[in-house]
Amino acid sequence: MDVTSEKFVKLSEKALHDSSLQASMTFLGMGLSSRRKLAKDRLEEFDTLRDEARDIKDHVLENLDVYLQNFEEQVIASGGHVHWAADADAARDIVLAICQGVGARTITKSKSMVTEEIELVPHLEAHGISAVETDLGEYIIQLRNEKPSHIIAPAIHLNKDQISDTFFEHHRKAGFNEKLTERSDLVAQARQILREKFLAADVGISGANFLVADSGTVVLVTNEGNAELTIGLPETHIAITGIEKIVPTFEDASTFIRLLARSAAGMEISSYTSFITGPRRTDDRDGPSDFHVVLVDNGRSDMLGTRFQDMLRCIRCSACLNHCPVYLSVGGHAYGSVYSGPMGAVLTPQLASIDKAGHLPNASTLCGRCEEVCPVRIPLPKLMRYWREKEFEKHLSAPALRRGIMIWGWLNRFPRLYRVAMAVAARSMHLFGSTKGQWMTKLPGIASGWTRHRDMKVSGDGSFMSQWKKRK
Amino acid sequence: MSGDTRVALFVTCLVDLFRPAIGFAAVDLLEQAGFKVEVPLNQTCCGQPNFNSGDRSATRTIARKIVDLFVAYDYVVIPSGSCGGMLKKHYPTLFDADDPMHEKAEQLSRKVYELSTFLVEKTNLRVEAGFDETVTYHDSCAGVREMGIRKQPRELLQQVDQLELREMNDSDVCCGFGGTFCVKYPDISNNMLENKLRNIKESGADCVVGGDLGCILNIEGKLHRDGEDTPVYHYAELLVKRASRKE
Amino acid sequence: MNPREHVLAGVTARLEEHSSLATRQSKVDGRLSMHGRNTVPARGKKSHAELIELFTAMLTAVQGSVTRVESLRQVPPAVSDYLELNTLGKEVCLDEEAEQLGIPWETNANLEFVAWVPKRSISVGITSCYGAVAETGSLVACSSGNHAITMNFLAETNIVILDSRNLVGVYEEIWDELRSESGMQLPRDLTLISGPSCTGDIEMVLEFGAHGPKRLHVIIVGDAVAEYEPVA
Repeated sequence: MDVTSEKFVKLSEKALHDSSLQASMTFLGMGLSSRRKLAKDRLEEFDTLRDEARDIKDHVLENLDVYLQNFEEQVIASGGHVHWAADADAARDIVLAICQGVGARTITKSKSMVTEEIELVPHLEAHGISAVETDLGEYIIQLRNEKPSHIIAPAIHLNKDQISDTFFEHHRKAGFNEKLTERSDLVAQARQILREKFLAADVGISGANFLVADSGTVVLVTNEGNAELTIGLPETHIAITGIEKIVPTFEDASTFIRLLARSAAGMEISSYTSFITGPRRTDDRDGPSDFHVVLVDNGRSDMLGTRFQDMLRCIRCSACLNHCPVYLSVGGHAYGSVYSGPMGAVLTPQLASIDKAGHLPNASTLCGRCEEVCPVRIPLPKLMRYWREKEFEKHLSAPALRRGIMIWGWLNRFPRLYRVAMAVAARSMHLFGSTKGQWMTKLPGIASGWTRHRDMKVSGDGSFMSQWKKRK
Repeated sequence: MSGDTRVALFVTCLVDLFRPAIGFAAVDLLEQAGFKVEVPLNQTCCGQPNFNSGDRSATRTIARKIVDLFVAYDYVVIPSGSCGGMLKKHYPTLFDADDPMHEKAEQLSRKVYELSTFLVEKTNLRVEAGFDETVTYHDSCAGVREMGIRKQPRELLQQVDQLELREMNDSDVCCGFGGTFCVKYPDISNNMLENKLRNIKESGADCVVGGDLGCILNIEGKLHRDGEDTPVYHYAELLVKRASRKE
Repeated sequence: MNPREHVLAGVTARLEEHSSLATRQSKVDGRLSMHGRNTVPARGKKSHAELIELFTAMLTAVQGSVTRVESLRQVPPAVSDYLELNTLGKEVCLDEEAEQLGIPWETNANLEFVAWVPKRSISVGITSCYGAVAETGSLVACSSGNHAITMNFLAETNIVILDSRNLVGVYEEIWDELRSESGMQLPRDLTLISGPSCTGDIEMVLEFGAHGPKRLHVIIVGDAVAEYEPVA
């Protein structure tokens, strides 16, 4: 996966000084976390369902090969085709081949993080196929040539005026000459423009929120209804999905449906939850005659049987992003990856590399809010720590900090030396920086990050242990 | 609460270095509750900085020593949610199940208590303190999410004469300290800290109180840099206060 | 090795360290054949009258609307009234599945019927439904030989006729119904419709009619079913 996560520090600096982004992030943080809480409070079984969801996913992952084959059998039995892609290149080529095979000139697509991950749209466009995003947020960022900044609300970093400017710039050629100011008008304009695209599309491409192994069913969750229009109108439907999206039965899917919208946005359920099984039946009145599922690995199977396996439980709800103080400070683009926030901090080093994405699991206080709200109880802080261990082993952390940590580790092996060092430091630390009375205003070396924004009070009384010894 | 019960204080490196008064307040409170407190001299940092930096090897070395030093006590009391979490939750995960140290770490884990939890659950301490101020409580992340600390310090603070507790919004949202995080990503840390200070101000309280010295130093340092004279206390300090700070 | 073998081999290699293929196969077969239920929300385990109330409350909370009528005879005036209330004109498109309900449309001259043409936007689409689930105020729409499900998404206003006997408490009851009816012969598209189309993509403020219907109106026909047994 292509990322620019190595630029995290620079990108986050830019984000912190972007006042309109900051306003959007503040709003996001306040809104979605309180909505989730309300939804959770309305469903007394919520936490029990989380435990069950975790257990279902663990069971699936432990038996994933059998489930995948089952799913494939069922898709084929219902008249569909299944394709397997080991990596992003393979996935892109498969989709392109299907589109070219049916002579597609335009395609519509509904939101799919996997398609972002494999960068499908640029690939199709490079081969002369027009690919239109239909999820409103994705449509907006497509016009702006940006990547999504949130895994379910891709344009959440933008305000209404920015969106209005974008529409005005791009819709003029379609005859819309008025700059809109109301949200409802912006939605109506997008509706009008995209309705034509839906009706004209040769192929509809979707992702998959869940794959029901029992019946070969692809589950699609939207509020806009764009998925159903994307896949129901053209002659060909291609569903692209990670291999970990399997759930065993409809009963199991029900548990996840109960968790997804509540965790994501505090909604009881999304407006549309579609269970798609195969192409149109002989006497159906509508629907595609051609149905394809593309199963994408792209680094997922490498996580099985490792300490990172828990990450494969992720259902891409975004609850962790919405509760993460770091994500809410810098927004999704700072992560340089389509997967941002805590889930991105764990997944990006896996799908890209820890060398490129090392900042992501490090830029966290391990506060644990993510784990607290994850519907499938992924221990995100623990997984971030595992990445830090890998980094430490590979000597990837900043040298000064690594040295500091190693010295501290060494010192702690010698209690007497430690005690002396602490006693000395307690009495003399004020000498190592600038002070204003009891307060240090500038600290040296790796500690300078502290005094960039705050002071440090020093007690000057001597360490606790030296005073305690004196008492005894 | 018999004289035979051996209670040890794990003072924590931050308290040792930056605010010994918290350690002495903890001892005072435990003694008031009828315990004789021991402070093993050979204690060190709990190893959390190394743990969170991915230095598992050094963490294990430190943990072994701490486990050996403290495991024989009946209770190990710690005036910190994050160090408490380190000993209680993380130490056992450092050793494989077939390593004898794993069982020892589990044993120690059962004896580890964060201070307010110990005072509330294991003693009948009646707080005798007075502090005529409005305070707002900052919940540390590890305190809430690793050690389940929320009601305990509040219950104790309610017993302080004349003290008025005013809750802030998002009291349990991270202040931006995060150990080395605040020096690795100082600007993001600052952003989180500014949010915390905004919530503190909106609460209308004149003082801040918390249970983890890392958070306390972080919040206090920023308030001072901003020109505010709002004091930031560890709850233990308030539980032994005899008068208002105005003295 | 072809791509399929390559991917599956990669997965299998990781799993066989922990369990044999035979074990995995048996675990999967077990779970699939049992299709056991997980925890089912208590809110869906109510009397039928309470479920109708719950369905109504859930749907209206998300800007859907609900009318109750005693019998099919009252449907045409109910539709007329709704169209008038919302100034939607008289033109409606009636789905074949809804047509087969035997609603006496001729009793109401206020409606003008237009034929369904595939892949065409329409103003008002009147459809029937397979059933509905009270726990989240969800209608169950199924594609079939007499239901073009794309009508539910292309219409600007979707009016859905729901036979009260087809309302259940929780999703699991729908799956059971499908299994008993057809051995889980699924339609191409089974959609739970739980409100009008909406989006919060612009500053997180909910706007309606993003791509699907701006309005969703449900006409529940009939009374609560006395013999209904709440799910266990």
